[in-house]
Amino acid sequence: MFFTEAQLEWFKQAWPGPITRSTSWLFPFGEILHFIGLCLLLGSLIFIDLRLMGYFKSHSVKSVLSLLPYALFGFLLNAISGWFFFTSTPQVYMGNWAFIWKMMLILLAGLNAAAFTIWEHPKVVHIGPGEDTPTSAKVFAASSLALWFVVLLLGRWLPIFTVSAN
Amino acid sequence: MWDSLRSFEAGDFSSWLREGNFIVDPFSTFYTLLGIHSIGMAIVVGISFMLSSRIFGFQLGLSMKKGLELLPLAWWGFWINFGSGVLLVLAQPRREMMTFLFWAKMLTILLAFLSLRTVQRGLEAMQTPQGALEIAPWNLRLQTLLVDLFWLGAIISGRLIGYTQPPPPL
Repeated sequence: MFFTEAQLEWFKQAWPGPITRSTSWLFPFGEILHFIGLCLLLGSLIFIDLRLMGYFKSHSVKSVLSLLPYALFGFLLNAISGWFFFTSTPQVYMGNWAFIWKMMLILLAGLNAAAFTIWEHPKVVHIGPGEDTPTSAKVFAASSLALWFVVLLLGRWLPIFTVSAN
Repeated sequence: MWDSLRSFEAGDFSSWLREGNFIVDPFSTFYTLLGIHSIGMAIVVGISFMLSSRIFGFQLGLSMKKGLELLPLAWWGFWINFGSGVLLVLAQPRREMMTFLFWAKMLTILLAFLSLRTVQRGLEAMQTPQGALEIAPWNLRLQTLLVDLFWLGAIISGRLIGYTQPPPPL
C-alpha cells in the first residue's frame, strides 16, 4: 500500500532484519526492551499529562516536565526495538492495518508533542504549585494520553490482523 | 483438579475469553485483555520507575512526599493488571499453570507488590524539615531498587511466557 515490493525487500535486507530472523532470542529480547520503553514513556507521560490536565496541582509544571528525558529515552528504546521487529518481516507488518494505524497515531502523537512544545511550553513552564493550566494545554495533554493508550492497544491487536493478513 | 480445569476451559466463559470477540468482530477478547493488561502494567511499573528516579536522587525539583499522591494511581494500574491477568489465566488455566515462567512471574509480582508497599510506608514516615531538600535514606533506596528489579523480572518472565508455553494440554 505504502511501499513497492522492491522497497519492502530492501527493508527486509536492511540491518538488523537478517540477524533478527536468524537469531532465535533477538525478537523476544526486543520485546522486553519494547515493554521497558513503554513503561518509561507512559509512566512519565501519565504524570506530565495529568498535571497539565489539572491534576496533581501540588507540583509545579516545571518540576513535572523534568521527567521528559524518560519519555524520550523510552520512545528511543521503542523506536529501536520496533525497527528490529519491522525489518524482520516488513511485508507482514505493512499488510497489517493495525500496524499502519499504530504508525499514523505515533506520528500524530509526535506532531501533538511538537505543537505543545512550540505553542504551549513557553506559557505553562512557569506555572507553579496550586496554579491551573490553560484549556489549550489540557487539550494537548488529554490528546497525548489518549493517543498513546490507543497506540498501545493497537500494538497488542497486531496478532489479530497478522493472522488475517496471512 | 486437572479435570475440573479441563471442564472449565470447555465452558462458555473460558471459551469466550480465549476465542470470542470483545464487543465486535474481529477484536478478540484475548488480545483486548492483553492490551488492557499492558495498560495496567505501563501505569504501575511506569509510575514506580518515576518515583524510583526521584528516590535515587534525580529530579530534585519534585517533592518525594508529594509524589505519594501518585501511588493511588499506581495501585489502580496494579488492580487493572490483576483483574485482566486473572481473566487471561481463566482463558487457558491449564496451559498457564504448567509453565514455569508463569509461576516465576507471579512470584516477582508478589515481591514487587510487597516492596512497593514498603516504599510507600517509608515515604509516609519520612520526616524532612520545612524547606530542606528531601534526601531518601539508603534503606529506602535499596527497597526502591528491589521494586524496579522485581518489576523487570515480571516484564521479562511475562514476555518469555509466550515463547516457552507448551501446546494446549489434551
